[in-house]
Amino acid sequence: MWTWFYRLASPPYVYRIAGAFAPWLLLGAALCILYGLIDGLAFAPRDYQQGDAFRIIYVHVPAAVLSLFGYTLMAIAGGIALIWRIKVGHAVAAAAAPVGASFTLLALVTGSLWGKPMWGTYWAWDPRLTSELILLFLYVGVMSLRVAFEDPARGDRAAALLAIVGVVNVPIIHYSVQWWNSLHQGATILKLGKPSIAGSMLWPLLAMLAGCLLFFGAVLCTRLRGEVLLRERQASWIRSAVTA
Amino acid sequence: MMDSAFWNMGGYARYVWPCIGFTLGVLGWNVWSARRLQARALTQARRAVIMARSDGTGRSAATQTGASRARSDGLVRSERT
Repeated sequence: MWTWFYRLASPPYVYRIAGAFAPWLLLGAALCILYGLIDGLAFAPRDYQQGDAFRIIYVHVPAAVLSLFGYTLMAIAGGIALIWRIKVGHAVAAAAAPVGASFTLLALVTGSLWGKPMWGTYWAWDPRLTSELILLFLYVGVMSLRVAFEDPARGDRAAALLAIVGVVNVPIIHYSVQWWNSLHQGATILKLGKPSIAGSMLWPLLAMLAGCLLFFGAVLCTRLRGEVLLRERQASWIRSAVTA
Repeated sequence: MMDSAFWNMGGYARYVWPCIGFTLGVLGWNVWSARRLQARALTQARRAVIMARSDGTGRSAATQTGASRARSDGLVRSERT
């Protein structure tokens, strides 16, 4: 177990493994997303209240889930890097930030476009929407802080600290619809008991969730290779890696 | 065959299709920017290797001490350096 953990801390190993995984993850993502979009947009029955507008769920929910997943991953990687002084942790956090930020922006934009026909407005200062917007600001803050220092190591540490402090926002986003009065609907899939969605609507949603998760993994692996190369360009193993 | 009812999305086309388009755009941007980052990093790393060779300061794994090899392999992290 610890041997595996320490191997994961080795940049050459991570560089090699990320390169091997990335194309397969991207292939799996493409297949799942293709199935999810076709089934969700063309074959899933329309919602009896929302009509076809409900089909936005197939892009909105995966984006929202991945925005939280990305931030949690970034905070965990930052925490590992700070506690065990494993520099690959900082590289993972740096690689996850832009991907997570883009999914957060996607969740906000698709949520706004869904909100207009359902609530009559593109934006409301609702607890779920506001906390998701704060998440986007946190992502931007972490990315900005990382490049704000002349010494990259200090930037990495400051960004990891902000990521760890900001992770408190993740449960706030998830439970906001239960803690406060909200325009936003409650949990549909991630809740105790049976999901409150019909199977014919659920399967494409699960495919989209799996596809977006695989996509996140593929992009993370590709970005991670770049981050490792940028941070390790003076290391001896780089020579064989870049000339291979 | 896709009929007009599909594209019309029950009157919600102007909300549904921009969502799908924006999603595909974000996915495309992620792939493009990740590959761009990797290509930039590869170029910088190759340049660093060439400069090290031309300066005559390029170190080989065979001439490294055990400690420096472990450091360059990332198994030991020195935050102060």
